[in-house]
Amino acid sequence: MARWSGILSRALLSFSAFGLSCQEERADQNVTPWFEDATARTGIDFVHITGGTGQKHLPETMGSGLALFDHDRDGDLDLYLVQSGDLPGLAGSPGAGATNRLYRNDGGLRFVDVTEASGTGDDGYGMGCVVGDIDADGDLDLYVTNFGPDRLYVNRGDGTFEDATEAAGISSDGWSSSAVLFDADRDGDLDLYVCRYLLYRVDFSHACEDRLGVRTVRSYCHPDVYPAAPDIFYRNRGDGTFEDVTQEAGVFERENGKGLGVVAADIDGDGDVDLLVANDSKPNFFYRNRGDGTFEDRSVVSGFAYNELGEAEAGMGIDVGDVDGDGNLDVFMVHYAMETNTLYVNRGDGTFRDGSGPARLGEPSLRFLGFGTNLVDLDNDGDLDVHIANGHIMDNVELFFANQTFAEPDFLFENDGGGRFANRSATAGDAILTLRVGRGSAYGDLDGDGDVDLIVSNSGDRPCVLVNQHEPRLHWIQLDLQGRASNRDGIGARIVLEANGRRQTDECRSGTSYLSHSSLRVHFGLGRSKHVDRLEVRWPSGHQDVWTNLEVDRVHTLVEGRDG
Amino acid sequence: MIRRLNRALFVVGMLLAACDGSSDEDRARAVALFDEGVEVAPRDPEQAIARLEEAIQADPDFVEAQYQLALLQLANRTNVEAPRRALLAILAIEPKHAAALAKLGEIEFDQGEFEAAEAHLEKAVHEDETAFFTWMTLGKVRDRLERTEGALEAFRRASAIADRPGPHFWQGLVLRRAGRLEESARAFRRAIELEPAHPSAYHQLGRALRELGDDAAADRATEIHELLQDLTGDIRSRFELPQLIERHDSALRVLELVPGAGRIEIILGDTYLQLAEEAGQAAASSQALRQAEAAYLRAIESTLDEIMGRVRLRALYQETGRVEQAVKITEELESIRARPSGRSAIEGEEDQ
Repeated sequence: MARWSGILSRALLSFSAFGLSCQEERADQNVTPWFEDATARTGIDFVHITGGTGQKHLPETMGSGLALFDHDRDGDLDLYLVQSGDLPGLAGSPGAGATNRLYRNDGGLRFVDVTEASGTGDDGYGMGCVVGDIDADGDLDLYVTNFGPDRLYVNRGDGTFEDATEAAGISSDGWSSSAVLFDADRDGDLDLYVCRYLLYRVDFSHACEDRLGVRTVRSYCHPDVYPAAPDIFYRNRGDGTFEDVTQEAGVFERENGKGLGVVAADIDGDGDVDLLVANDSKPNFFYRNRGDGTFEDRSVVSGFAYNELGEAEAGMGIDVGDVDGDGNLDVFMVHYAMETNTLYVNRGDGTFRDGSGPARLGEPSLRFLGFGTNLVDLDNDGDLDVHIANGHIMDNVELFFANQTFAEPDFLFENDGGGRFANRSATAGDAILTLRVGRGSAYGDLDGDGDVDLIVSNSGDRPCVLVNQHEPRLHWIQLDLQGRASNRDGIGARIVLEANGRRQTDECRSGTSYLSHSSLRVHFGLGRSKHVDRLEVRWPSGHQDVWTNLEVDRVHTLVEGRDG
Repeated sequence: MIRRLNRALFVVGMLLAACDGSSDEDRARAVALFDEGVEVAPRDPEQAIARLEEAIQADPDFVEAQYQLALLQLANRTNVEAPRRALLAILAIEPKHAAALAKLGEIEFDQGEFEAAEAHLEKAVHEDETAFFTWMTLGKVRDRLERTEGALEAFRRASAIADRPGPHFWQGLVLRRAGRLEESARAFRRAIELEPAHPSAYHQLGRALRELGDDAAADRATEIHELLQDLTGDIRSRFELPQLIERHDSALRVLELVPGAGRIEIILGDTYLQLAEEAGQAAASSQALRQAEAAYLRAIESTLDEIMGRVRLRALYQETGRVEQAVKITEELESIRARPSGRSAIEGEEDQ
C-alpha cells in the first residue's frame, strides 16, 4: 500500500500549495514567447506507448528518453526517440511491434523518419539512450537502454547502423535506465556506465494498493518494494568491445542504487572525469576518479548523497554546469513531488553544499515531479539557465492530492549571472506552460540559428519540439571538438572561455538529464560580447590548447593539438 | 468552537461595517453560506469553495470567509493565484490580519519570492509575536536571502515560544553556512537533545564535525544518520518478513546508540505489530503484541513522542479488545491537549 503516506503527511503538515506566481511578469501579447511548440510542423509523428494495461507495472511510469546527435555527419542534429511499447512478460500489452524511431533533420525544422533504412528500430521495451564514437571510426554510435536486454548500434559511417551488442560483449539484461559514455581511464576511448533501476519481473511483481476513502485502488508500488539492480561499468578495450569492470573499478553497489540519472564530469578539477548518479529514494553516488579509471566512493563525505536535511531524495534527472561562474561544476537534480529540486553547489574542494534555497530552485518545485532537466544558456546571456520537464507518475494523482496533477507544466528558470534564478515559466509561452507528462529532455540548436532549442519526450504522448525564440538575440559561439589523442568528439574536454572580462567553464558531455543525450556541440552564450578573447580546451588526454580571438555567432571546429 | 468564534467575528464585523454597501440581509445570507461551507469542507471541498465564494459575493468584506476560502483553495487547487487574491483582499480590509499576512508570506516563500515573503512575515510576527510557525518560516526566508543574523534571530524567537528541535536545527544550518562551525555543532547537538532520533540533525552534525576535523565523532553521527534515514525514510507501511526482521534489528541498533529515541520506539512497536500479524502461532503473535505495547509505553516516556505513542497504544488496545485501557489513554490524550503549554499551538507543525 500507501506508497504516498509519508509524502501525504508532509503535504498536509506544510498545508501549502504551489503554482505559478502572479508576481512573475505577465506575458505581453505582443512579445514573441521565449519558446514555440513547433512539433506539428516538424513531421515527427512518434507517439510514446507506455504498454500499460491497468495492472500498474512500474516500467509503465518511466516514459522514455531521446538523443539529439548528428547520425549522418551532415552538420545538423538528428533525433532518436526511444519507444516503450510491448511490456515483456505481460500478455495483452498494447504496443506490440512499436519501435524506437530515428528522424533525420532535413533543415528548416523538417524531420524525416529514417528508422528502417538506418536499422535502429529496436523493439525492446525502451528506456533511454546515449551517443558516442565507441569504435573511434569518426561517426557516432548509439547505445539503447531497455527494460530487457540493452542494444548497441554501431554506425557504419553512411547513416546506417548494425546491431553490435553481442560482438561488443554487452550483456546488460534486466532494467537499465540512463547511461553515459566517457573516457574513465584516459586511454583515448569511451567507456560506458549504465545505471540500472530495480530487480523487477512483470510476471513476478507485487500488487500494491492505495486507500481512497473506504475503497482501495491498485497503485504503482514504491521502488522500496523491490531490490536495487546494481549499475554496470564497462571498460572499452579500444576496439569497440567492452569488458564489465564494475567490481574492479570500485563502483559496485549491491544494496543501494536504483539509479535513474547519471553524468560524468570533472567535479574536482583534477583532469579526470568523475561520476555522479541520481538514485531514486536512495543516497546519490559521487564516484571520484583516481585518474586511472578506478573510483573512490565520496558520496557521503562530499555531501552529495543527501540533501541539506539529510534526506535521500527520489532522484530522476541530473545535469552539471557552472551555475555561479566560479569555475567549478555544480550539480542540479530533479526529484519527486513534495521534495525540492536540489542544487549541489561545488565548493571547489570536492565537496558540495545544498544551495537550492538561496538559488531559488528549491521551494518552487515542491508540488511538481521533475524528470528531465537541462542546465544550458537558453537566452545567450552568458550564464546557465534551467529547464525542467515535469510530469507525475500517478495517472490518478488528483484523487489523492487535490493540488497536484498527472500532467504538469515545464519549468524555465533564468539565471541572474550569479547563480540565483527567477522562475520565467509564466512568461515563456504556452510551449512551456502546457500540461504534459514530461520525461526525457535534451537540447541542441535544431534550426542552426545560434540559440539552444529543447526536445521533451512525454509519457504516452507525442514529444515536443520547443524552438527558442528568445529576444533580444545575443551573441553566441558553438564548438565541435575533434580529439586526436583523445576520443573523437572530445567528450570530457573542459573548455574555459573568456569574453569581455567574463569567464565561462563547461565540458563536452554525453548523456545527462533523464534517459537522454543532448547535442555534443558545446554552446556558449556571449551576451553582447563581439569577441571571444581566449578559449582554452583541456582535452581528456591532458593536452591543452588555446585559441584567441575566435569569431562569434558561428560554429568552430577545434582540433586537438591545432590551436592558434 | 471554531464556528462559534467565526460567528462572533462575523457579528463584530457587522457592527464595524455598519456603513458599507452590504445589507443586513446580504450579511445574514453570507454567514449562512459560510456556515454551510465550513460544515461541508471536510467531505466536499469543491462545494465548500463554491459556498464560500457565494458568501463573499454576498458580503465582500467577510474576512473570515476570505480566509477559509484561501485555505481551501491552497489545499485543493494547483494554482496559487486564487488564494493569493483572497488573502490580498483580506489585507485590503484588515491590513494587520496576522494570519493572512503569515499565509501570504508562506505562499511567497513556496514560490521563491523571498523578499515579498520576508516583508509579509515580518508584519505577521509584528502583529502576533507568539506565532511559532511564522517565526520559523521567517527564519527560513531570511536564510534563503542569506541574512544570517536575521535568520538566527527568527529561530531564537521561535525557540523562545516552544523549545522544539526545529529552531535549533535551523540555527545550526544557518551557522554552518556562515562557517561558524563550533556554534553550528552546538545547535545540532541541542536539536538532538530534544529529539534523539532527528536524522537531519545527525546528518548536519556529522558534516560540521568533519569540517572541524573530528572524524571519529563525524563518523558516529553519520552512522546514526544513515540508520535513522533507513528506518524513518522508508515510507512503506507493509513489509515482508525478512524486511521486518531487518527493521527490527536496525531499530534495536539505533536504540542502543540513541537511548530514549521515542520515534524509534514507535517504529519498533509498529514492526512488532506487523510481526504479530505475520506470526503463524498464537503464542508468537501474543508475544509480539506484548513487545509492541512495551515499545509504545517507552515511546510515551519521551516528551516529543508522548502523543504519537499514546495514539498507537490506544489503537493496539482497541484492536485487542482492551476497552478500559483504550479509554484511559483517550483521557490522557485529552489532558495533554488541554495543557496551557503552548503545545497545542504548535502541535502538528512541521519543524523542518
